[in-house]
Amino acid sequence: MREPTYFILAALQDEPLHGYAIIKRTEALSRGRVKPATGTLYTALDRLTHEGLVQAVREEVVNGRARRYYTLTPDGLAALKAEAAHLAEAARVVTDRPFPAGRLARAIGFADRTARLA
Amino acid sequence: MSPLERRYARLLRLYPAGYRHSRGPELLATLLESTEEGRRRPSAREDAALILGALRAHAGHHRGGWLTAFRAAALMLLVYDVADRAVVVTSDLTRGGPALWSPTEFRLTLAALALGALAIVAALANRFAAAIVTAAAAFGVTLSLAYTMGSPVFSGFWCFPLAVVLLAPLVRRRPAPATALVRYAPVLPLVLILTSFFPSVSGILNFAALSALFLGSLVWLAVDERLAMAAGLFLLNTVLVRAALFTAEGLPAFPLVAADLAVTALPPVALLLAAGVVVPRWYGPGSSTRGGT
Repeated sequence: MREPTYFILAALQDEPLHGYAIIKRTEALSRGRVKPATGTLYTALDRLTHEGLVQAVREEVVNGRARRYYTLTPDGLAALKAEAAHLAEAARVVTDRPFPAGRLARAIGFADRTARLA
Repeated sequence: MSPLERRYARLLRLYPAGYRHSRGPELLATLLESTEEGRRRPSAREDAALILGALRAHAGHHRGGWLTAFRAAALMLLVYDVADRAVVVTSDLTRGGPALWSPTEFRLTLAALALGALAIVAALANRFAAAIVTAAAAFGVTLSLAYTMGSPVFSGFWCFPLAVVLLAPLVRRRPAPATALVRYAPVLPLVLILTSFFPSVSGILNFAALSALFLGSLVWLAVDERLAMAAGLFLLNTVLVRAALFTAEGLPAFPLVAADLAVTALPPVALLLAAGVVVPRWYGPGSSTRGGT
């Protein structure tokens, strides 16, 4: 899953949102890294709707402007969670290393040499 | 309506009518909301996103794009071969009688031409089994023609058998209907045929047309990968013709053959790899998306 897709799905995990709210939320969640243009967002929403990950839930008119709200489908939520687990697992490879093997070995080697010199 | 709104409305006219009808007002509202205050023109980024979005909306969504590409490529091959022969036959007739060929050869050429045309009609009507039978029969006639004339290979030689191979999977699995530019792909080979009408520069024109087909399909990958698939499959014909020419004329040194074939194979292989491997990773339904559901 590409990063924009991931953050668009993540934006929809709590409540149904309309187009502009999705853009704002995607930008906030990704800390400004992903800010889809409107044309790009709707292309992505069409694709995700077609794939059954997202669906439109309701329409309303606010200040004379049409709004349609989108939400995750159960499949969409499952896909998002699977991707999050996948990313977390990948992150753990780097973050969960209390004793980095290479550095520890180098430190022991250095201590040995210092001891011999003394 | 503000100038900005007018500009957005003009860009939205690029979308298909049905799409505009159902999504237009919503898209326009989001566009206006997301544009910062005081702006009178859309940003270049939004312009590009809307143009690309409109082209993608025209192309539609498609799973199993290969089957549609197989159909388009088979039609391209059939159209190329039939048009090529039609041009030769007409130019021969206008020269005043079948001077180039014996009456038998002329009849065989007409038979192959008619069978090829029938195969095109059958493939267009999605009657793939009938298209395979007629294209195979056309190749049979081509073989006997090549035998009588003693000239085994010409530029369209492999078109019929290659089309049969591409049509075979469609008998059981019906392709999704072609949309947008892919629908017109079968007409593209006519441009290649047109180059033969200018004999003095036909080599350059042919090269330019082939390059345009290659580069155009590559650019179109951003919108729809099925055109690159179809063009790549169609251009495989050039590799087969090249290889057959070598076997017919005797093989030069191995490095020469390898280099020549590699250069000929580069455009189709690049298109097929880009469309089949690279683009799905970027745009298509990500494997992790489907793996997770």
